[in-house]
Amino acid sequence: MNKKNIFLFGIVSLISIFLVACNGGSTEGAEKGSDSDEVKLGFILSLTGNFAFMGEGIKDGIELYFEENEVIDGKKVQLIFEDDAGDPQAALRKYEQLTLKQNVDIIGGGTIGSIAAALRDKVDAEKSVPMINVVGTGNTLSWDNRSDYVWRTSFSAWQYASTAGKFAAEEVGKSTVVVSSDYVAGHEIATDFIANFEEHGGNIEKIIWAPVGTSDFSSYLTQINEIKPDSVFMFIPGADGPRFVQQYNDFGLRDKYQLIEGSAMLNAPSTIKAVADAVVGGQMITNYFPELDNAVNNEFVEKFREKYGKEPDNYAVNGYDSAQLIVEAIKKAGSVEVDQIVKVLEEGISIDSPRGPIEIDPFTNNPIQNMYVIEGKKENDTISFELIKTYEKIQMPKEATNYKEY
Amino acid sequence: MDFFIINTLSGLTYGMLLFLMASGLSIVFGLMRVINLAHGSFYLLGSYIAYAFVHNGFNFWLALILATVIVMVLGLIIERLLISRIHGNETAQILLTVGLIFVIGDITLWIWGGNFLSIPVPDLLSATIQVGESQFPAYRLFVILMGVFFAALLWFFENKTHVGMIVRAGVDDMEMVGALGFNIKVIFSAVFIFGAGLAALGGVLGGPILGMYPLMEFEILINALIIVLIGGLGSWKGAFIGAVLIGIIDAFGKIYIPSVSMLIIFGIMVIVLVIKPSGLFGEVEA
Amino acid sequence: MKSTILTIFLLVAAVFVLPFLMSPFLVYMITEVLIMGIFAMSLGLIMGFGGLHSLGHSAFFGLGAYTVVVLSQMVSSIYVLLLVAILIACAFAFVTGLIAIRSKGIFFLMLTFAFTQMLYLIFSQSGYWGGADGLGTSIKPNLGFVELTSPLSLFYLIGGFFILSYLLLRLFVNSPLGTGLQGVMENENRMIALGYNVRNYKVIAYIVAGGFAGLAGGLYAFKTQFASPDLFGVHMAATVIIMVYIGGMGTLFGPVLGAGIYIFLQNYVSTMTDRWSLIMGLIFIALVLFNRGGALHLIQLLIGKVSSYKLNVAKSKGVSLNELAKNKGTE
Repeated sequence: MNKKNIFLFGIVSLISIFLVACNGGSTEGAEKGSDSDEVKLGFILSLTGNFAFMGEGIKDGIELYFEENEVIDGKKVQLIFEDDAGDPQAALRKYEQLTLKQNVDIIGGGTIGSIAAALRDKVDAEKSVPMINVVGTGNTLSWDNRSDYVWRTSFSAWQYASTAGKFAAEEVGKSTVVVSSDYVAGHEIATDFIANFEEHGGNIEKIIWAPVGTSDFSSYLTQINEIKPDSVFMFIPGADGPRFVQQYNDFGLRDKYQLIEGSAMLNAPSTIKAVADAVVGGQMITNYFPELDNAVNNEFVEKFREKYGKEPDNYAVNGYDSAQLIVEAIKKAGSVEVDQIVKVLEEGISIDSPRGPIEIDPFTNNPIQNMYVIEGKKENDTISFELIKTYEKIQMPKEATNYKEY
Repeated sequence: MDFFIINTLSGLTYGMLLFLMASGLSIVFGLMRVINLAHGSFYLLGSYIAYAFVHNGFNFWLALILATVIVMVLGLIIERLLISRIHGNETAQILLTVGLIFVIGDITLWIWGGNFLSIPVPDLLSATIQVGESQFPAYRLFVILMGVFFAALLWFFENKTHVGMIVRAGVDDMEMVGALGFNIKVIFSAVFIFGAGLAALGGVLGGPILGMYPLMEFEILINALIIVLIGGLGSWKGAFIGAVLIGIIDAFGKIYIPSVSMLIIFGIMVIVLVIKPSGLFGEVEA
Repeated sequence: MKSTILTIFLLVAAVFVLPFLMSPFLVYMITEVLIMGIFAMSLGLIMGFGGLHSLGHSAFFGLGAYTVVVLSQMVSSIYVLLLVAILIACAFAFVTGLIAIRSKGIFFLMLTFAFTQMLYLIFSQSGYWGGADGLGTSIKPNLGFVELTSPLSLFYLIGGFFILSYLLLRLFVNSPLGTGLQGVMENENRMIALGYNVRNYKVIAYIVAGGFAGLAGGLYAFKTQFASPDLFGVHMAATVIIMVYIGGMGTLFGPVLGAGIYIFLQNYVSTMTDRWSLIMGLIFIALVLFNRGGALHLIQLLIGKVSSYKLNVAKSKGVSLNELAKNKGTE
């Protein structure tokens, strides 16, 4: 029995030695960046798992921007990317690592809504670093759960869905079927869409909640075929989305009912590559598309193509603009102190984004930006998207209006 | 009526893809007592490799054959190099095959990226078939036919051939078969690569319908495991019936009980296993 | 008994001293290791001592975490919260255990997995408790006389629970119930013949394991102040199995070591490269091929307890020593 103790003691001492060794070998305990000559930026992105395609795009955009902005106000930028694999628990762990071990000055993250929400709670509770929310579109981050320390550069569910609802009712037809992924963001989008669609005289024929991970949509497609609406509004992000578009085409619905897409998925280069002609004729609400004609975007697209050999998607622009916002805020604040950064952000910052000029609204911590409606076209065997309507300077209301939640 | 027909056909399509996947899993377990959790990764590899061929200008049918053969070769390597070393050790099998899922999944993510990909429907089958006022894609009918064809092939193998007889005897008692002078190693390898090939074939056939994306192997694997357990391990007939059942429940469940259709599937599995712990057609009780 | 006291003393000393030698981040990581250690120990109990391979152990962990997060909106006492977390986990273990324990091997594995997936679907699709986004809380552990707010105090709290759990599980393993359970694993038919009610032994062990997993989940909720359906996911369930495998089965401390190795390895590898799951996968495969007894046995081997190593390997492989010797010859 005594041997066992020696053995356990051995293990415990081995572990202790290992840990102390780890501890000594790293540069922990260094003071936070303010007086060092480095700016440390930590990004927690979903680089593997279901949402890897989003994380990849965001990372591409961030790296592209910092390639040309390696130094801010004489301080060298150090980028740290961590993978959360699409899991909020992992994201929280990486947050601790970035703040406790690497002492980053600013955090970026929130590839998906649940991670943005989890990180937001942590950042808001600790108030030690500001966070740039790179995608997470939840309305509540601008309303009930707005935090002075969390700023969004992408867009909110409300901005997309309310515009889509208005457009569908005014420009397409008064009857529609809503097909939405059955999770928090899907319900939020559907709520905003339906409220605005009905406000503009439309009539919702049916709401279809597709579970996340639905592989076969044919049951729903037959239901739509029975209803014969003017349009079908879909919000199905992730891998399910292109699959829906593909099957919508396979079952012959594409020519019958106008498809309106609400998660900026239809025009993604990867979607076009995967489903090709099935996107033609489909309409989509977005805050960015690569064909957008303005000087900043033309330059952006060219640089992006040159570096990565592919077209940028919305995520790349979100990453690029997050990087821009961080740099602008640091320059304006003249410091990386959390309070200084927050103060500057609260005064409102405008940036020249590839999606057109945007302004970060200090009341909702969300950008005021244009919304575009685009449509898939095919000419000479190449598929491109054409602008059909612009809604200018869409700004979120300061608080939630009272409407029925779906 | 169209509504009913189309949903039944859709359910069968999905069911047949799951059948191709599950039958291999079932036979491998029944004969070798190996829990191959990486079976879903063969499905994934099949579809990604076929995608690579089609993307580089190969025709769909050639890609189908090449991808299946490549996965079978990989299956052989994995069986000889890894699986054969850990017969009879369940815990090691689980850890090893989970390791394989990680490795294969990450390599595919590395090569093909995290985007959704899809294999284009072959031109020959790109038409749709008119059912009343609705349409049904011809390709899906073809997938159903392929499923039925392989079920028939398995039936033929099992009942009419010498090989089938040996395999059937092996499910009951492998040592006996060995004692009779058959080379167990060869039988194991053959069955394993046959299962891997069926999974890969399912992957290629599913490519134009379900597409490919990271972590897809888990979705497929979970469904296949449920089917195998409902139908009974070691029985392709059980897998066939389980797959059709799951496919049909999935198609109609989405319409009539949308939020709980997946719960119902798990519920059925629990009920079946409580009433008959070896599954509906189970010949093996682990 | 003397050895248990010494072990506990060693653990207390280690928990007390370690934070003085470590950076804040390491304290954070060790806190996580201790929580996952309780979780892995509880699974190790039914796997290593009961032969029950569960792919659904995350159910109890998730239930524990959700219980704390949801109830913290009404109750603030850590005693009540953790007690309810344990009770709910035990209740779920009782109900599902009665059904699942009839089955063995992969059937048991899949049944437990099915129950966990059901919880995953219910929690991610329901309109309550935050749905797929998960639910946050602002609760801090309040011991009644003092509220623990600093990471260090949280570390000591969880360290205390870890030592308590280790002690209780140790007592359970050495009790008649525990030895009976091991007898069932080694030779079920013999135990049936001897008149033991085999099923009851397994169900009780399953409930005990569920309770400790629930405790771990509850503590986890205090640490992250957040619960999401991912806690029920297949990834979580597989992770804890892997921890037990890495550490080695048939001991209580092995799974803890496995948890430590897994968490540190995963964290460092994923920081170094995006290809971390490839590397982790290769490590698992290598573990199976080259180190069949788990890390704890490897260390035991190094310390020279060759005979006990062999015995444990034999146990975990479910073969007799003679057979093992035979295999060694052929390898």
